[in-house]
Amino acid sequence: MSYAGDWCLIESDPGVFTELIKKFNVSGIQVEEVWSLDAQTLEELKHVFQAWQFYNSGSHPDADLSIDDSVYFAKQVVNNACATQAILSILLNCPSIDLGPDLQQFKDFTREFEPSDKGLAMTNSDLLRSVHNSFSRSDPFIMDPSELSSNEKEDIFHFISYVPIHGALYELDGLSNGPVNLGPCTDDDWLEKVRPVIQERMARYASAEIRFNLLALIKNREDVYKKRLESDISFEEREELLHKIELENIKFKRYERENSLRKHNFIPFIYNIIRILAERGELDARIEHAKKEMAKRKKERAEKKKNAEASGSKN
Amino acid sequence: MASLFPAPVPRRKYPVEFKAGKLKREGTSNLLKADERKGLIYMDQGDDQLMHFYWKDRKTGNVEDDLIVFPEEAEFIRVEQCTTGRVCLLNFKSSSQKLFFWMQDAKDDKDEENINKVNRLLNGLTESRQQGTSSTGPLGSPFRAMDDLSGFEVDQEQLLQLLQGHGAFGGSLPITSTTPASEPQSATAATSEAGTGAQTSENMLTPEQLGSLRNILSEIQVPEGGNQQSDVNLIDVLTPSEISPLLSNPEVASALFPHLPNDINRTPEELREVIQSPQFAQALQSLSIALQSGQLGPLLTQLGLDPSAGSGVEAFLRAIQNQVSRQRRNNPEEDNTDDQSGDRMEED
Repeated sequence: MSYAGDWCLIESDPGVFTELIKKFNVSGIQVEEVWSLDAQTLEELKHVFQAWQFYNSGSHPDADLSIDDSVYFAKQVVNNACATQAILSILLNCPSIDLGPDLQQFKDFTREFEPSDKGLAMTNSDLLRSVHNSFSRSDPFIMDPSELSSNEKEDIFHFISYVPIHGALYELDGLSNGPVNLGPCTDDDWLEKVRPVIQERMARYASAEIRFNLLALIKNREDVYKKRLESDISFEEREELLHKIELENIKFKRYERENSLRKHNFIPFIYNIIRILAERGELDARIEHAKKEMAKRKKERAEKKKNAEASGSKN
Repeated sequence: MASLFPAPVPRRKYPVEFKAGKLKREGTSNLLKADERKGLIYMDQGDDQLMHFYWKDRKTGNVEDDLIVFPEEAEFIRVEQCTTGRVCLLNFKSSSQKLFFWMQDAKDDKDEENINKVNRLLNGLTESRQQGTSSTGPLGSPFRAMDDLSGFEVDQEQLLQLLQGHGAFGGSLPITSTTPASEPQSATAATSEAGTGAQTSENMLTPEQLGSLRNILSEIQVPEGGNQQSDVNLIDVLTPSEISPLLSNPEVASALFPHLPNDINRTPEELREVIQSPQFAQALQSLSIALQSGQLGPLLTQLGLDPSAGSGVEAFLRAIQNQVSRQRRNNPEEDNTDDQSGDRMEED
C-alpha cells in the first residue's frame, strides 16, 4: 500500500457519501445506513442497487480468484481513498445507473486496465481526489499521519462491496486480488442471497469486537416516491408518500447542514470563545474541570486494563 | 472553634510533612525566584477521601496550596542539576502544571525519605517506588533526570541568599563558616530547623562554592509546555452543557456570529446547536491533537500568540489568557468582548 499521499480521511457517513456521489455528477442515488437485514428492511430497500459494508482494517476476506472481465474491479492503492473506491466499485458495476459524463469517461478509459492499474488510475484522478478531499475536515494545518494518536487510528475503516452483476453476486474487496463470485442471483433475490453472507461476516466481527456498519446505495427515494405519485393510487398511499417525501427533505437539509459544519474552519470560533472565557475570568475553572475529567478517564482506563488483564481476556 | 480545653490539642502527624519553601515564576518571565517564606509541605487524605498535597505558610498558618492529586497524575522529583539548593518539583503529568519547592530543613538526611513518601502517597502505593534511573548523585539517592527541561531559569543569586539565610544546605559541600548567622529572627528559625543551634557552621559558602553552585543552578531549565501524552482536551474545556448558558449573552453571541459557517442563521439557538454538533466536537478533538503535536507555530502567530508558548492544549489556553491580560493592561477602558485577532484568520 502506498503512502496516504494527497487523499484525506473522510467521515463514513451516509450524508457525506450521498453528497460525494452527487458531486461526481451521478444522478438519482443516495446512501442510507442499514440497521437490520430483516425482511421489512429489505423490503424498504427494494430499490437498492448494492449493499456494502465496512469494518475495521485488519481482517482480510478469503482469497478469491475468479477474474471476470465483466466485473469492474480495482485494487485498493491508497488507504484513505478506500471509501470513495468502494463507492466507485458499485457505481461502475451498475449499468442502470446514470454515471454522468465524468465517471463514464473514467470507466471507459480504464475498462481494460489490470486491477492494480485501475486502482492507480483512481488515486491519480484529480476529479476523484478533489471531490473526496472536499469532505475532509478543513483544518488549516497538515497533520503528519504518524502524529495521530491511537484514537484517530480507530477511525480508519476498510470497505467491502456486494454487487449483483450479470446474474451473479459478487464481493468486491480492494484488498484482495480479485472479485469473489458468491453464486448466481437475480435482481429480485440478490438481497436474500447476500443476507447470510453479510450476517456471517457480522457474526465474525462481533466475536472479534470489530466495529462495522452497513450502508446501501439506493435510488433516490424522493424520485421513487414522486414517480409513484404520478400513478393511480389511493388517498392513504398518497398521504403516506407525501409524508415520506417530507421526511426525505428534512433528512437532506440535515445532511447539508452537517456537511457545512464538517467543512467549516472552526479555529477562529474556538479561539474567540476561549478569549471570551478568559476575559470573563472563567477560563481557569474550565481548565481545572478539564484536568479532573482527564484524570478520571485515565483512572477508568487503568482500572479497565487491570480488570481485563486479571480476567485474561484479549484486549 | 472554641475549645473547652485550655491546653492546645496536639496536631496529629500527617503521613508526610517537611519544611519547604516555594519557587515562583516572576511575572510572565521564565525566571524562578525563591519565595523566602518558611513553609511546610504535607499530604493527607481529605474528607473527600482524595489525596491532597498542601503547602502552608508556617508563619501565618495559612494553607496556601491545596491540591487534589489522583494516582499517576503527578510525581515529586528532585531537580538533579541543583545539588545543594535541594530543589524539588511537583510535576503534573496530566497538564503542564509544575510547582517548585526548596527544602528548608537544615539537614538533608530525610530528603530522600520525604520525596519517596510523597511519591508513594501521590500514587496511592504502599511500597516504595523506584525513582527513575539508579544513578547516584552527590547525596547518594536515585535521582530522576529532568530531561525535558527548557525555558525556565532559577534566580540563582536570590536563592543563594535565601539558602544562606535559612541554613538549608545539604551536607555535601564542606562549608567554612566565615560570618556569623544572619539576623535574629531567621536565626531562631534556623535554630529550630537545625535542632541543635549549631547552624553557624552551615551558613556561608566560600566564593568558590558560590561560584560552582551558581554554575549548577544555571543548568536548571524547566519546560513551559506540557507533556504531550497527557494534556487536557478542548472537549473537556468547552463542554457544551457548561458553555451553553454563556451563549445566551447577546455580547458573547454577537462576538461569535461572524465565525459561524455562512449558511447558518445567526441566532443563539443555532450557536447552541453548533457547539453540540459532532462536527464541532470533531474540530475540538482535531485541534487538541494538533496542539499536542507542537506543529502549530504558524497558527499561533496568526492568532497573535507567542509561537514558543509551548506545545499542548493547556499552553495554548494560557497563551490566550496572557494575551487577554496584556491587552487589558494596555487598554484598561476598552470593552474586551470584541473579537481582536480572530479576523486575521482566513475563513472558508
